[in-house]
Amino acid sequence: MTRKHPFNSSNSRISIPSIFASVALLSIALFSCSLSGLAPKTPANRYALVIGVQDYPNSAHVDNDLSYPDDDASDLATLLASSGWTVKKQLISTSDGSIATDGSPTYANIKAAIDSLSTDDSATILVYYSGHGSTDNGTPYIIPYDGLTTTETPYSYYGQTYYYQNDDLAKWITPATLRSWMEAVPAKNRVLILDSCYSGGFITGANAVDTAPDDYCQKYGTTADTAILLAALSNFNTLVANNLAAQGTRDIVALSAAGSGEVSWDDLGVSNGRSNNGVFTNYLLKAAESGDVDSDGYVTVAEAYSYAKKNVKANWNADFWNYIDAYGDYSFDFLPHISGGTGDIALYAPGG
Amino acid sequence: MKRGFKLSAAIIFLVLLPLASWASPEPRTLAPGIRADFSGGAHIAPSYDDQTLLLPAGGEAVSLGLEYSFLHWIPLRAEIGAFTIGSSSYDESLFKFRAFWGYRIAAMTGLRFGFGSSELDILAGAALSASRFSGLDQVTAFASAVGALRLKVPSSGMTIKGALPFMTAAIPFEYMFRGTARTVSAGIDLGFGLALPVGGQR
Repeated sequence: MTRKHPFNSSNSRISIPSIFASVALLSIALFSCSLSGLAPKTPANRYALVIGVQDYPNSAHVDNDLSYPDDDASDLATLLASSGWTVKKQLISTSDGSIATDGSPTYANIKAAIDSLSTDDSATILVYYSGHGSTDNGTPYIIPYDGLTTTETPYSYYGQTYYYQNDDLAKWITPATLRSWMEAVPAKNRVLILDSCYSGGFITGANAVDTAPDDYCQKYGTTADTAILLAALSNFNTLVANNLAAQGTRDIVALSAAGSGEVSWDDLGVSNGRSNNGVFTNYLLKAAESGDVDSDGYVTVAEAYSYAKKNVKANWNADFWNYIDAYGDYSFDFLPHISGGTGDIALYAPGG
Repeated sequence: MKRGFKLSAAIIFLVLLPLASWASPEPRTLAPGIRADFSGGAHIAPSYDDQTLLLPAGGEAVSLGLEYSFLHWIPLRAEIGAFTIGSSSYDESLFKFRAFWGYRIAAMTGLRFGFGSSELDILAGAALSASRFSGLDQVTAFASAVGALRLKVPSSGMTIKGALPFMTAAIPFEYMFRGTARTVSAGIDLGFGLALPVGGQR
């Protein structure tokens, strides 16, 4: 005898196959929905500032000039302009007279240019920097043109006299300073891209953990493939609490050429078949053509990061021998980093 | 949309459709006790923040559930599962929410109502998830409020070592607290399970 269900008050028959068929058909419909939909037209209020410091002041014995930041900034400005951005200023210090510039990338000029990027609360702003980066007492910096002086200080090492160029630390820009300048500008979205040494120190955020190592070195087996999710588990409570508490302004979407403990490389070498650009920016530029992973016609900051990281790893890190200098200071290997917020922004879009 | 694993509601439908023939003119009933089940399905999972309204996205999930029921009450249902949510559509400023995937544990409580030989559960609780942004090295963890409507339909004429198989169809809900963003998920899950009734069943 079949025991009736204690709460059965009806002898009505329910067609079981029809229930599951209906539910399953709804599932298929749900699953089959177009999830991304059509992307909107590229808006007009996307404003960019590009900064390239190739030519620094020199002292009598020290030349800290770089090779390609002027080309990096100029080439990216051209590409952004064709991708719907209005490049409001190009602050480029260059020894190449053919590269246009709207002024010297000094501390004051950079601040003024950021302050005037937008007056529109619904705008998207982008700041790109290519030049020297450094650290001092654990704090990362980017170094504007007037961050180095024409004076120098001698020092002795194993009986030989060397010189280091004196800097003006007050003109060096910290992550907190740059963030405060960008967040003060009326805008809906903010993008920051840095091609400089130790630029990973500008990638900050309390709501996610970056599992890519600060100092990547293949020779010693530290890779970006380890500690994933284990890093999240070790910070689990903190991350949950931070994600519960966070509200308000969107995070800046930030992209750096290297980790906070790494140098990024300027000299790519035309002989290697690459362009006259820094290693990271070379692949950042190429991502416009080859970085559209989901084929939606837009290359987002995350897609550009993925493309650059893959190619830096495969073409630069693999090309150069894994080398630690005699003092154990650094190797040639490095990896780009990206910020951990929930949002992403189209970097390259069909021109507006 | 990059997925951490592949799952298709359509495949679930094709697998489970033959099993729907379990139903017979004289269905058996589910008794109080412990139930274990496996289910999966597709969801819509739009997100929003202070600067944008809901941007649509979709996702998939699978989960294992274990619950204890007594009369009308389900004191505890525990779930462990995996999920993936694709990137959203763009807003007018060409902003969108990133795709992410991860693992989740949930605990719920609720009420059970019977009709015919079937059961309808109404559940609510909380979940904790560890997740990674798809294709990136950034990982995070977040809390959610969860709920579900679950329909269970027992088989007839078949037991597995005294346990009674059943099929499930559910509408799960989830509200995720993800930093400055919030994600609202609702979907349809299909599955099957085993009921281990206290005191046996005729």
